[in-house]
Amino acid sequence: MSTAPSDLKIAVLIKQVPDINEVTVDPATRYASLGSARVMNTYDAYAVGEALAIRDRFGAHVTAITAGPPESRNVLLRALATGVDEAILIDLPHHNDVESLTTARIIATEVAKHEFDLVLAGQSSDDYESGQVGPQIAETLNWSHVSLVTHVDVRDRLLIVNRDAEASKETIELSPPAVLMVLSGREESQRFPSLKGMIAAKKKTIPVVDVGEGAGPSRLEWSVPTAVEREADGIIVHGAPAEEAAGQLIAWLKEQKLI
Amino acid sequence: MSSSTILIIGEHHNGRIRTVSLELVTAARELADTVDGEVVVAVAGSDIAAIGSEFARVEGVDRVVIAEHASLNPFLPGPWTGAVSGIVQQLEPFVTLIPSSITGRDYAARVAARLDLALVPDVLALSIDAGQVVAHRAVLGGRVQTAIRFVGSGTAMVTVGPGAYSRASSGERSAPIESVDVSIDDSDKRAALVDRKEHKAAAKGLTEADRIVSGGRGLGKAENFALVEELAGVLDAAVGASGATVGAGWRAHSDQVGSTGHTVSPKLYVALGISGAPQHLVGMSGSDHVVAINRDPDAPIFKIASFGIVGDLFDVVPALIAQLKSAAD
Repeated sequence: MSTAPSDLKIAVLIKQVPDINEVTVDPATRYASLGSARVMNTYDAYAVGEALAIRDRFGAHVTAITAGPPESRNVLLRALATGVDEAILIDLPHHNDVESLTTARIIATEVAKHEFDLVLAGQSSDDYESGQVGPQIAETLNWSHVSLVTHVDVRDRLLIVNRDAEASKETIELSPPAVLMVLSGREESQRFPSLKGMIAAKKKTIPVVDVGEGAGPSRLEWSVPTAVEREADGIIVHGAPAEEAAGQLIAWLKEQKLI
Repeated sequence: MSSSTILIIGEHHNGRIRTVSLELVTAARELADTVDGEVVVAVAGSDIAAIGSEFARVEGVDRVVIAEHASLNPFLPGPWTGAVSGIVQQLEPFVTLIPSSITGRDYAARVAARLDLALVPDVLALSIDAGQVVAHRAVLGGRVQTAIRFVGSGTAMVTVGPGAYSRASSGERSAPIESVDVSIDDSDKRAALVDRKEHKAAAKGLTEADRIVSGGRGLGKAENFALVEELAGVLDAAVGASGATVGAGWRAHSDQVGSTGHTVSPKLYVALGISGAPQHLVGMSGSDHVVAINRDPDAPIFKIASFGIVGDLFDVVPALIAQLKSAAD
């Protein structure tokens, strides 16, 4: 894809995450471990879609970036197959053992090298849900950020961003550079990899960035994660006619003094 | 004394203290009693004298500091990062508690980066062990819990989710109130809010509601939320929604229960057509009683339900509404 000088340079940040529906628990110790399945983080897929929607409407060059172990390459291949122009892998094998702030600073260093106008990222990750890396990249680069983004418009290089806050819908105007954290995938901006795209993606070179000792020690020590006890041991009504089931529920609500 | 200050960034909206701030006072008081420290509530904003006085009446608060600045209203993360960073630098607290709200999460991460601090978000409980702060939180969609220990120097910064602690009450008292100066750089004011439309007032009560009826993808389409609203009306409950329905555009994000939405802990939570994805469970598993109605007997929501009905919600819910109405007559 050719890039006009006026086009925005967009980085879209992707995290490869474990499939959180595949957590297994050791019945003796209650220690939790993850399955082997790895997927593209849900909100990051929305961010890829929004980046490509911006490219289609206003012109842009889109680079997907991930920081993680070598197998994170798979989410970059998926992003390329979906239509992003290029991809970069930041080699960070133990990415879940480093602080979010460290990850943010490592990614910020890479972002600064390429003079991006815009960084898009998902609102948070499926696994750790901290939502910190986006704002912390913005802070490290002294950029603005907007979270919970639902739509992005570009007018004369001014960004008009819609967000869905707690009690309001907001429109925010800012000039690039900025970090935008994407909340929702509008139907018109959702993208899926095509077969042709997948074949083309495999032919692309994905540069690997070595951060060396960049990670450093963490100031946070994690205990071994254990499964949350989730046995409500509740009453389950199965196969009863609707009126009867409803009646039993009402009797139970009364018994519990909930009505 | 500064090293044993437990600092709370008090949250307020439209001239009112938000409940989560009162829960943070309870959390902070426990920590302060453990380390023989003081609980300080910092209130940032513009035109906030009345809010400051209200915080001074809350039991367990030792001191209130007010950081008044015209650029703090309406909320934008840039100016708030500047203000909260300034407060933390001046008070040098042992622990800093920020509400894990949409606004709190938005500035906490930046403050941590600006001051080079470790941050643990969405904490459910806090303790002190061997002089170090330990924050307990759930990860992987709430299925897994872990304890995270602050081993570095500097204030231990956490955001605390709503419902994690009980609310502190207010009394006929007034803790001392003082002002702190905060300066906000122009570089923190580059984004401008040009439009804000408040959602319907009803949605605001979600985190404070005693009863919630929520709908999920099992409703099939946006129009069928009418059934959720009708049952909520009969039960005098607030209406919530799963992330899937918000992503599909059926409901506003302000209704969303779960990760990236609200964390709720009502007495009664009724889940209609919600399978119970981890992202949803993390937001509502603290409810006292969970009622689930779903067609799929293997839906994870039944694992945490106190009362579950395996069946077609389009049959069961109208029957339920009819019987509740006739019982009320």
